[in-house]
Amino acid sequence: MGNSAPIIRIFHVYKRYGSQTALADITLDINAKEFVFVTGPSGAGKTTLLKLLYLGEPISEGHIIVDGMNLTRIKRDRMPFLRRLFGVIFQDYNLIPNKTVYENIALVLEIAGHKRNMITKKVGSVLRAVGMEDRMNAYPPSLSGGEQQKITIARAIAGDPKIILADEPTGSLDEDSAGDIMNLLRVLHARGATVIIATHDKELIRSIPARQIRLDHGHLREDTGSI
Amino acid sequence: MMLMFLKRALLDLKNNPLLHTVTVIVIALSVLIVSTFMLFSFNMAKMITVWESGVRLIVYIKPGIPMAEIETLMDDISHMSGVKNVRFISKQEALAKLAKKMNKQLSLIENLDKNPLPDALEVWINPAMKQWKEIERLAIHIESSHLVDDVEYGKNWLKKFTGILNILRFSAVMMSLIFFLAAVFIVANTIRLVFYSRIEELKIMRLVGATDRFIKMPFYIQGLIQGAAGGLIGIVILYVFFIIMLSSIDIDAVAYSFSIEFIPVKSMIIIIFCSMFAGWLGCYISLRRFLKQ
Repeated sequence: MGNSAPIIRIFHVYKRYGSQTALADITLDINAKEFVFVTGPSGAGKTTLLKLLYLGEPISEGHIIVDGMNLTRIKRDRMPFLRRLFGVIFQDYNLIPNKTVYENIALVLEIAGHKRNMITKKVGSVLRAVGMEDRMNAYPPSLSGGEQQKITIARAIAGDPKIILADEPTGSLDEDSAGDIMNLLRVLHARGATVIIATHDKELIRSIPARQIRLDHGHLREDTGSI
Repeated sequence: MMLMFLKRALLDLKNNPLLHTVTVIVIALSVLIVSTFMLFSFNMAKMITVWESGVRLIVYIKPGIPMAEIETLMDDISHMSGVKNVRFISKQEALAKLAKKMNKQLSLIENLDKNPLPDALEVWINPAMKQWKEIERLAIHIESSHLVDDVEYGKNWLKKFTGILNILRFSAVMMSLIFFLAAVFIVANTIRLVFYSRIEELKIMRLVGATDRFIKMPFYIQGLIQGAAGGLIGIVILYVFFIIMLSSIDIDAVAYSFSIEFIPVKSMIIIIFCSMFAGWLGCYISLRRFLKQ
């Protein structure tokens, strides 16, 4: 799995917020179909690194190349296509509150230009995968944190993305649900997706043998390399 | 894809009814004012054209002139340069016409001891003779006859009328411009408010890969719908006023030998397209600013 060509290449990347440096001189490659944990304590720069990959934040310095696209030089009109490579499980869910669970997930597929009947089928299938098919017509504010987390995961995987980015994906879940979600991510990885998980949950890291990239105060402290 | 954009546009119109209704009302009022000016200038221009193509002089005969002399005068006038036709209107015919026009106040006429109206000649001028100086010369020539009491040919009236029409046309253009800009400004602000109420949603849409086109299209459709609805409502209101006006005033008294008409279909289509363009432009200005961020 880990011996494919790099799908993500990061060269001397810095991210600064004013005078504060969130990431400093990060250089690494992530291969296609790799399973990677980005670890480190709170404030280490894990979320920032993930955000830079889909241009959720602009890069201050350096270069990131994703699937052949240089994010420093990417044109504005190509950004949506870059983002469609990713299925992002946001830490703060980012669900649209006035749209139903179905509509939130269908949106990703509408954006990608899928047909109505295919969208219906696909939304049903991802909701079943996260055990939320009975909440299809619910609105996000009526769901618990764990349920919203599952919907975010369902939305992230609905478009069959090449790369899944997960920011603390099990943070709001109970042990059983967390286990189910990790199994789901492993299945998607086995089907060929590159999975990058940012977490400080040591139990979670131990549960799956995978490459670990450890950040601390914005610096790359350790990279176990591909497993 | 277009059907999906249309559905999203309609859904948003449904979700923000107050905001969108206010916008449609503002566009409708703008269209109403502009098209009222158009209606007036269109009919005034038509009236002038009718008048120019059939200028006539009314020659009032002094009282007590025998018919034989009047016939001689008619013959003289009909041989004058630029005269197309001369018709005699007896004082009885003139009174009958007046009675027909004043049928609500018929008693006023019926109570008259004698007919106060003079005999008259209706002198139709050749349409080729459009120079006012020539018409004026002809009128003075006729008036110099000892049989003629007065000649009426509405010169000053038409001059003023043409002047008013030009002012009205200029005002219509200026008003159109002002109200067009007002409509664009209102739509731009409405869309901005809708945008800010949905900013989180739109940010999320971008994060999951929505193109600018995907975000913009429903707003553009909304702008076009608002413009079309406003334009249509404005024209319908004007038409209702127009019908009420037609039924409540004596058109013959206002415009002799001329029928007042509503603005032509072609102009209505142009008005609706302009208001749709205003709706679209308002959206475009708002969205451009937002999507640059």
